[in-house]
Amino acid sequence: MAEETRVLLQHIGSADLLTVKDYREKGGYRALEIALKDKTPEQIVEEVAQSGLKGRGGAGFPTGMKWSFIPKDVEKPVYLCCNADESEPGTCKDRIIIEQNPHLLLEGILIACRAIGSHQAFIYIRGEFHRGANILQMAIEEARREGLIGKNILGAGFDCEIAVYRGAGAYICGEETGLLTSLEGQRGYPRNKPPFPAVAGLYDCPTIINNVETLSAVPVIIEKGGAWYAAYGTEKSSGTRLLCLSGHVNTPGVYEIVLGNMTIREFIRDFGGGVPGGRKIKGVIPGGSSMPVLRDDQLDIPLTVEDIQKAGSSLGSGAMIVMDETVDMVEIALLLAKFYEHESCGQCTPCREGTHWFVQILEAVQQGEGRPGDIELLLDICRSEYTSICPLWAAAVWPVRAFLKQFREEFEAKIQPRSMEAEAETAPAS
Amino acid sequence: MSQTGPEMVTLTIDGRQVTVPKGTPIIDAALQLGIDIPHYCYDKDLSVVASCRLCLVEIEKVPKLQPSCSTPAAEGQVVYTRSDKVLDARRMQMEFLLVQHPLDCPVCDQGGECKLQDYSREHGAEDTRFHYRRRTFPKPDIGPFIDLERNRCILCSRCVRFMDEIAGNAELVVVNRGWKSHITTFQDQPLKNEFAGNTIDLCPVGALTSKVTRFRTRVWELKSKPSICSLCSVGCSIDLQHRNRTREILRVLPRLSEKVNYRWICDIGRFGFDQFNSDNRLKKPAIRINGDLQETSWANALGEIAKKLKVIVGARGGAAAGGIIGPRPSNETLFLFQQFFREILKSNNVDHRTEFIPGQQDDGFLTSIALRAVNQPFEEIRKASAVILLGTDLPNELPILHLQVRERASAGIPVYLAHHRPTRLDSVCSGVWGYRPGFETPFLADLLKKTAQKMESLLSQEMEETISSFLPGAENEAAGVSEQQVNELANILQQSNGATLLVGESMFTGKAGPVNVRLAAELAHLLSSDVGGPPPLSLLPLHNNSRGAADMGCYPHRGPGFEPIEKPGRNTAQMLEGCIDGSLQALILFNADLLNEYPDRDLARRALEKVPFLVVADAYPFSTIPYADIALPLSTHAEEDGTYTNVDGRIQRALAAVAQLEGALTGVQAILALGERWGAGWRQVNPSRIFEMIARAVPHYKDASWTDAGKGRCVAKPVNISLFQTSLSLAASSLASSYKPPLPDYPFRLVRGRFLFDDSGEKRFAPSLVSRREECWAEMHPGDAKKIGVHEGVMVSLEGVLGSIRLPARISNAAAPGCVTVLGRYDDKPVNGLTAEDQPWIKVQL
Repeated sequence: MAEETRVLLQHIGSADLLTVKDYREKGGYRALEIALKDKTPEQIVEEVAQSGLKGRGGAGFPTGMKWSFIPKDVEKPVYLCCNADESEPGTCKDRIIIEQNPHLLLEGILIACRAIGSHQAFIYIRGEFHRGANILQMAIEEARREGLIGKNILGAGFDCEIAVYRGAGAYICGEETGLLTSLEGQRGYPRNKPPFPAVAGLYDCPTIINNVETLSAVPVIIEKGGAWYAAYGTEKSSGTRLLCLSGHVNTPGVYEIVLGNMTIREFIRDFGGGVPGGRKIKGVIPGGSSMPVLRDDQLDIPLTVEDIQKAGSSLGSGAMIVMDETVDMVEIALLLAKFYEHESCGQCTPCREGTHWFVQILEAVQQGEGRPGDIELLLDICRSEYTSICPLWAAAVWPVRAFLKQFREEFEAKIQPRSMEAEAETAPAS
Repeated sequence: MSQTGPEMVTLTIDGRQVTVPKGTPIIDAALQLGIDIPHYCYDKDLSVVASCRLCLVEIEKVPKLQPSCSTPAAEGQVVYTRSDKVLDARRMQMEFLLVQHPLDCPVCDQGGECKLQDYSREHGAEDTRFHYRRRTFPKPDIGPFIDLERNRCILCSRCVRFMDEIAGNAELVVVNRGWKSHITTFQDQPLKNEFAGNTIDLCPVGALTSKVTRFRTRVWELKSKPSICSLCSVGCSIDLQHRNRTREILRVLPRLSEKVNYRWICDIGRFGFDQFNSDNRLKKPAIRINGDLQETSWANALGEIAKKLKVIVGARGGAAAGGIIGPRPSNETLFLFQQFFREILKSNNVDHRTEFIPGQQDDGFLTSIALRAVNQPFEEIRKASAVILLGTDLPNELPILHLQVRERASAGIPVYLAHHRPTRLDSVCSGVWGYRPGFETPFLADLLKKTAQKMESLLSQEMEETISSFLPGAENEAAGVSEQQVNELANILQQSNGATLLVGESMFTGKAGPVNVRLAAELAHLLSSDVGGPPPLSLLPLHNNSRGAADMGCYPHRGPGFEPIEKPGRNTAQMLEGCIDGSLQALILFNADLLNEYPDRDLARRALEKVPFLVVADAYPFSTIPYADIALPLSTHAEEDGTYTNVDGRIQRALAAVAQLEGALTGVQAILALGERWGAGWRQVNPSRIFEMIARAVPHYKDASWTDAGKGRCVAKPVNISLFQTSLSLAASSLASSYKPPLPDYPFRLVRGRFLFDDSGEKRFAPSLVSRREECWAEMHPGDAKKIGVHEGVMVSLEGVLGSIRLPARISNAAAPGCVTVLGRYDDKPVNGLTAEDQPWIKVQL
């Protein structure tokens, strides 16, 4: 029976962590003290690099390396943006930290700011997270009173401000450059890269964007060392991961585990308590809605970044969605297509037109009005996945392509009868 | 330190090498090789968004295709613009753009010059794979000029970026997201910006088309003639397009002119072309018989004019005849007009100043010439390190100059503005100062004094005395500018290195004009680093040939090239007085809308009524026609070859775009015909011959040629200022009474200003401009409004000693207390008919 390894979620559920006092009692802000007094910014970056920590937002970029991209000797201000726009369907891990251990995040932000030479951080939080935004705001105000935010933090001569900025309900603003334009007060349109944010980001200044979970892992790395953190997990996926388990499981939730100790099926069995009614699993999306779906016969692989990748998908943002045998996969494909259609910003051609076209085709298929050739057409549209400005179009393409590949027979079954009918309808009257 | 050009990089595109400055987008580098990469959203004058994804190219060692508009050329880059991968991606993007696009090409005005059509033909599929309901959007009304058809829009956002980045009003926006994204106007209001029409040119598809041209032609039927816009002194290069088979002008497009309008024009110039098609024209000469104007032949009309003039001139000499010509016709017409008076009638009663009464012989503009002011605002703005605007409302006066100032401001050049009311340019200015209307002179005097003090510069004794005679002293507050504000501006001026001053008509026209110009020039001298050089000062006359009329010698005291006349004739005001007192027996009005333009309408009306013989020549039936004894129909600007000199001194030629209206003659033809009929030996010649005469007669036009003027390459040379020796006096005495207190019972000062969307001049003969015009209003300060119990929108009566009109009130903090401002010229709201010119006092009643 696999078990949780609680590092980030260590005290959650067992203690109230909302005040500085409570947080300090559990050892909070010790890492900040170390970072400000015992380490140079370079040493912090080095420690984080050594820990092997990778971005937890989905793309998995090495955090230490990202921080090192900030140009040296810049004259412009450097900004840190914490991406708290958690909106990928199935993903709900950042919310736990924000709502239950806000100071952990603030501590991580302050250390990261110290590391990259930033004196102003922004937390861009999903608009629907009213509660989380309020909690963060209160935590920031208290931390400021306690000398943890503002001028001369902990008497170490370091100044840093943190501001909470609420989004207005757009998934695309979780894309890092869309987040920046939104933060600047404009339509949340992603930007072309290059230039990369580390060179020209918020207000055209060097900017680092990190996910909530990523930043929350920083304090423990500073306190216990990069090597200690890297000892957990696999080579390519060190430390602990927060996995969000949802769908057809008996006990959905957020679980903190070390990767490599169990298979996907074991994870679903041990943490999710299996599928309700003992039904069989049909498919599992392993890493958030945009990641390719896996079939039941692919679930006995180790739950690691590497193995899931080998199976043709990705652990992404760590959101595992389980679908049992009662699920209509065409309906799910349509549902996901509708999500991306709704969330496309509309700026660039393939995504604006492609997401809508997907929905129109899949809707027809779902309603039994599909046309022969629709599957090929959908797959052909998928070929344009990398022609858009940001990854949203690719994120819309992958599930469509995966569902077509993994469950093609379900699509074919819906298209066949219709085409015979249609032929009958259009046949010339004799 | 060595001076080096930009760093160059060499890259390979489709197997050919090209060297470009580092940072050049690949799409532009490719164009240098003659490779035209398809694109929609990219435009070199707008910010780069790389959103259409049509210009994707393959770059070696880069895994994904990259947009060539946003990817800078780099050393050693190897680019493919037509590889299989690229062509496949291009085909896919074209398919995406077409899936929702309506198949309404047959009724789309863009057809024939549509990039969607062009690229579909080159890169699109033959068949559609789309079998669903097309997306449709409701059709909005965004104003009388532009039609927005959202269903055709491909969301390239060029229009949005143009409005925001160049026109300076982000009135067009994208709303909603994803496939529901569409273009709309801010808060669904009609477009107001005067450059909005340029979005039609920028729109690569049929989403934005001209409502004025709509459904009247197919673009391939249009024939283009290069012309110069006739609606303001900027003189934008335009193409007048007419349909091959008819004489109808159906479209005006900007013609690239690097030094003037670049690739933009304003909506007045773009959409006003229906004035040329108007049926409301003078079509036949008319002669007054038994009190009625009756049609007659040109021969008869000209014969009658010659006969009458001969009688008058024979009996009383040339001084009994006078001519007023508006500042609008071509140089050739203006030149011949004064030539007719001087050579044939032996009269110096010639003037083109229809809108103000000069306080002395050399008015403000001539004073600036005498002071060697550079008078090239476009050139000056381009090189100045700071721009100082005095007394001008550029957005309403000279739209394209406004655009240029705005462009400099966004490039980081500080712009400062002092005016008697806020303008739309204020928001981009680094500093804005307001003074009370009527107090221009004290304001300038105070500013000059304080600036000189701060710069520790000594002014001449004469100048010191003049300044103190104009300083408001205790009335400082009355000028509406506090001591502190003037000091602040003086500080800025003191520090502004390489600044240029632009002075608007509210300062340089009228009786105070020469003094104001003198003060401004002195200020410009102080700021100029070129100690002995000309003052960096330019005046901004407003009409399309204001400058030409001056150069051609349409003054009573100066001939062509500003040559002084020994025995000066009468100016406009004196001619009108002469009509009333009987000393002037004949008056010829040529392209002069005198009743609407003259500051004292009552005087002008009485003069026209009284003068025994009045000839009016114009293309349109202006309100002067009913007073005429003989009316002559002239051709329009679009029917005539001619040159015009713009505010920059640029001599530019416009070509006749359409055949002359039968029965009408051009100004040149009409005057030549009159000279011929007179028996003076004149005969009809091509206007190019007249231009040759001008080049001989006007020294600063010496090097100009008809051919070069057609290419926009001619600029008037500096004027020989020895012609002006006697006219540099500050003429303080003539200004002693410059400030007159309000008349009893008439407590408000009436202030007139310009408004772009009014119906002055020919505008009222273009139905499209009439539909866009904004009704005349009276602007008042909230304090004054409260005192007399006036609310926003309420009709108030403005009553002066000479007349009254009723206008809706607009309450605005912008208005100076004690003043009522009325912008624009309206035929049916004769604001110039309320007061005498130097007693602008009115009362306001509910």
